[in-house]
Amino acid sequence: MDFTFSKEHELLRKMIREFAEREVRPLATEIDETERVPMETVRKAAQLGLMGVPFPQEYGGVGAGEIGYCILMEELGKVCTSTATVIGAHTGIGAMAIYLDGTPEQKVKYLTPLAKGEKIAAFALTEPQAGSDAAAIRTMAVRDGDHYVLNGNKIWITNGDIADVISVFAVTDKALGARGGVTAFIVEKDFPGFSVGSIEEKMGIRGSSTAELIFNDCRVPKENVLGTFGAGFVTAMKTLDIGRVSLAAACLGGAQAALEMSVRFASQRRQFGVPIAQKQAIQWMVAEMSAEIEALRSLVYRTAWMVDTGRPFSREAAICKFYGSEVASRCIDRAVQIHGGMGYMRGFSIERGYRDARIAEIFEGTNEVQRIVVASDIFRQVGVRISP
Amino acid sequence: MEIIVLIKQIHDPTRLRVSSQGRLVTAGVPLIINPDDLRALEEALKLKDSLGARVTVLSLGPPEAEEALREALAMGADRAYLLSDPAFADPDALATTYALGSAIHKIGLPDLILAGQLSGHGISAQVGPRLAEYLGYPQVTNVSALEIDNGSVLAKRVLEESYLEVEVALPAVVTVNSAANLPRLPHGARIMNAYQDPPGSERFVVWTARDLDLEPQKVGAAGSATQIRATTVPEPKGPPEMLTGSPHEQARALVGRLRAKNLV
Ligand SMILES: Cc1cc2nc3c(=O)[nH]c(=O)nc-3n(C[C@H](O)[C@H](O)[C@H](O)COP(=O)(O)OP(=O)(O)OC[C@H]3O[C@@H](n4cnc5c(N)ncnc54)[C@H](O)[C@@H]3O)c2cc1C
Ligand SMILES: Cc1cc2nc3c(=O)[nH]c(=O)nc-3n(C[C@H](O)[C@H](O)[C@H](O)COP(=O)(O)OP(=O)(O)OC[C@H]3O[C@@H](n4cnc5c(N)ncnc54)[C@H](O)[C@@H]3O)c2cc1C
Repeated sequence: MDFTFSKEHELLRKMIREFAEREVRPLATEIDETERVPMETVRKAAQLGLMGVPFPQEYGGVGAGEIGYCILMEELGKVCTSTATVIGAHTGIGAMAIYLDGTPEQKVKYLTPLAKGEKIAAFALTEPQAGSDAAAIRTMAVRDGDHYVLNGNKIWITNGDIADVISVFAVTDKALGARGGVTAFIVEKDFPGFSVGSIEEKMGIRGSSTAELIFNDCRVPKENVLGTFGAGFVTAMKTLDIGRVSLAAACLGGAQAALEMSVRFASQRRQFGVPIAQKQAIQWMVAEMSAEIEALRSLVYRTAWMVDTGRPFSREAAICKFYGSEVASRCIDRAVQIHGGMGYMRGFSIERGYRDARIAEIFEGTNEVQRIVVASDIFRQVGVRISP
Repeated sequence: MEIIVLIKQIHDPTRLRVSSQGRLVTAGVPLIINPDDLRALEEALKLKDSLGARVTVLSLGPPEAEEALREALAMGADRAYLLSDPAFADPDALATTYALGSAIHKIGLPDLILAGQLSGHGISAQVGPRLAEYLGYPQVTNVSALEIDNGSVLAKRVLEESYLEVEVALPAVVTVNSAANLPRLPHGARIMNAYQDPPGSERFVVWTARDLDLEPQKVGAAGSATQIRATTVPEPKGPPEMLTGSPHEQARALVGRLRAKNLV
C-alpha cells in the first residue's frame, strides 16, 4: 500500500495553492459580498489549465485525473467555496457529462474549449417539481426534422447565467420515464428559444450564481444528443456520481481551513490568563476535527484513486458526499464556537465558511438520498431491493 | 538564442529553525527553487516568449535537486542538466563555479547565462560573478529588469537609492534580484508532462564528476577555499513589547516608538 501522491500531483498542488493564495484568497470576501466570481479570475484559472484538470490533454485538459481534480477542489475549498463551486459545476458536472458520454466529435467541439476554459459549462437537471426525484422532470424534447425542440424550465442551475454550453436533461418518451425516456442534450446559450430567467439570492456560496433556465421552443440540432438516445438518466447519474467525489474534496478543504484557523486563533486568544488552547474543551474540538478530516482525506483520495483506476465507486462516492459535507459542516460549526463572537462577525472567513458549508449537504443529491444510495447498495447484496 | 539559467535548490528559508546547538534544522523543511533563481528563470522565459530562445536549466545538487529542475521544465524550460555526485557535496562558491563552468563548456557556451543574485542558502552572491570570470563573460549583477536588443543586454541594476542602466554585449552573465518579476505559475498540463523524460534522457541530462572530467581535488568540500567554522544566531534584543488598545491607538504608539528611536 502506498499513500503518497505522485510527484506530478504534488507539483500540481503547489501550483494550485499558489494560484489560490495569489488570485482567489484576496478576493474571497468581495466575491461573497458582490455575489460574483470575477470572470478575470476564471480566465486566470483557465490560463493554468484549471478549468479542465481531470480531462485528457488531447481534449485540452490537464490530464491529472480525478486525483488531480480533487486536489484542485481541496485547495480551492480552503480559500473560497464560491470559486470552487463555479469551477466545480463547470468541470465536475457540466463538462464531465460530455467527457463521459460525448462522441469524439462532441468532445472536440465542446469539451476542448470547455477544458481550456474558453467556454463555461453548466449541468441542468433540477426542475421545480423534480429535485431529489429527478426522474420527475417535465422538460420535453420533441423531434422536428434535424432538430429537437425543447420546452420547459430548469431551476437552481449553477453557472446557468454565465454558461456557454449546458448539459440539459429532457423527457423524450413520457411513458418510459427514467428508464429509457430521458435524453441528454448539449445546448449552446445562443440556440434560439433558450433564455436565462431569475437568479437566486442565497445564504452561502453567494459568488456562485444559481439561475433559472427557460426553454421556449428551443431548437437543438440532433447531433447534440449527448450519449445514447433515451439513456440520459444514466448519463445524469454517472456524472453526479463522479461529481460527488470532488464535491467532498472541496468539503475537505473547507474543513481543513476551519481547523487551521481554529488552531491559530486558539493559540493566540487569551482568556483567564492563558491561551484558550490550554482549555480541554477547545482541545477536544480540535482533536475531533482533526480525526474527521483525516478520515475524510483518506476516503476522498482513495475514492478518486478508484475512479482513476477504473474500479466501481458509486457507493464510495455517495459516502464521500454525505460524510464529507457533514464533516465540513461540523468542523466549521466548531470553528465558529472556538472563535466565540469573532466567529459570528461579518467579513471574517469563519462566518462566510459557516454559510458556505451548508449547501454541500443539499445539492448534487441530498445527504438523505446519498444514504439511500449507500443502503440500497448494501441491501442489494443480500437480495433486498430498496426504492427511494 | 541559447540561454542557460542556474537553478539552486534550497530549504525554504522561511521554514528553517536553528537548534539549541546552533545547527540549522532542515528535517521536514520543504525544498524549493531559490527565489532569485525563479526570477532569473522567469526573465529567460519572457525572452523565450518574445524573441524565441532555448532555455536550459542547470543545477548542481543532490539527487533531490531533480524536483527543482522538473519544476523549471514545467514552467517552460526546454531541457535540464543536473550535476550530481557525492564528490560534489558541500561546495563553496569556488567549487560550485568550477563544476558549473565545466558543465557549461560541455553543454555548449550560451548567449546568455542568468543566475539568481544570491541564494537563500549561502547568501554569498558569488556564483554568478565567479562564473562570468571563469568563462570570460562580462557580467551585470543585481538586475531587476532586462531586455535584449541587437546582440546586447540592456539591464537595470539596483543601487542603494537609484538605478543604473547598463548595456553589455552578449554573451554575458546577468544575476537577477528579487524585485525583477513575479514568476509565472506552470500550466497544469506542463506539470503533468514534466516528468516524462527520465533522468539520463536527452531532455534531462545527469552528469557526475567523471562525466565532466573534473579534477577531484577541485570539487565539493575538497575544492572549497572556505570552510564554515560555526553557525550562530543573533541574540534577540530583549523581549518584544506588545502594544494594546484600538488599532488607532496602537498605530499612534508605534509611530511614537519609532520617532523616539529616530527611525522616522
Ligand atoms: C445553490 C444550489 C445550486 C444547485 N445547482 C444545481 C445545478 O447546477 N444543476 C442541477 O440540476 N441542480 C442544481 N441544484 C438543485 C439540487 O440538486 C437540488 O436542490 C437537490 O437535488 C434537492 O432537491 P430539492 O431542493 O428539490 O429538495 P427535495 O427533493 O424537495 O427534498 C426536500 C427534503 O426531502 C428529503 N427527501 C426527498 N426525497 C427523499 C426520500 N426519498 N427519502 C428521504 N428523504 C427525502 C430531502 O433529502 C430533503 O431533505 C442546486 C441547488 C442549490 C440550492
Ligand atoms: C550557512 C551555510 C551552510 C551551508 N550548508 C551547505 C550544505 O549543507 N551543503 C552544501 O552543499 N553546501 C552548503 N553550503 C555552501 C553553499 O551551498 C555554497 O555557498 C554555494 O554552493 C555557493 O553558492 P551560494 O549559495 O553562496 O550562492 P550565491 O553565489 O549566493 O548564489 C547566486 C546564484 O548562483 C547560482 N547557484 C549557486 N549555487 C548553485 C548550484 N549549486 N547550482 C546551480 N546554480 C547555483 C544560483 O543561480 C544562485 O541564485 C553552505 C553555506 C553556508 C553559508
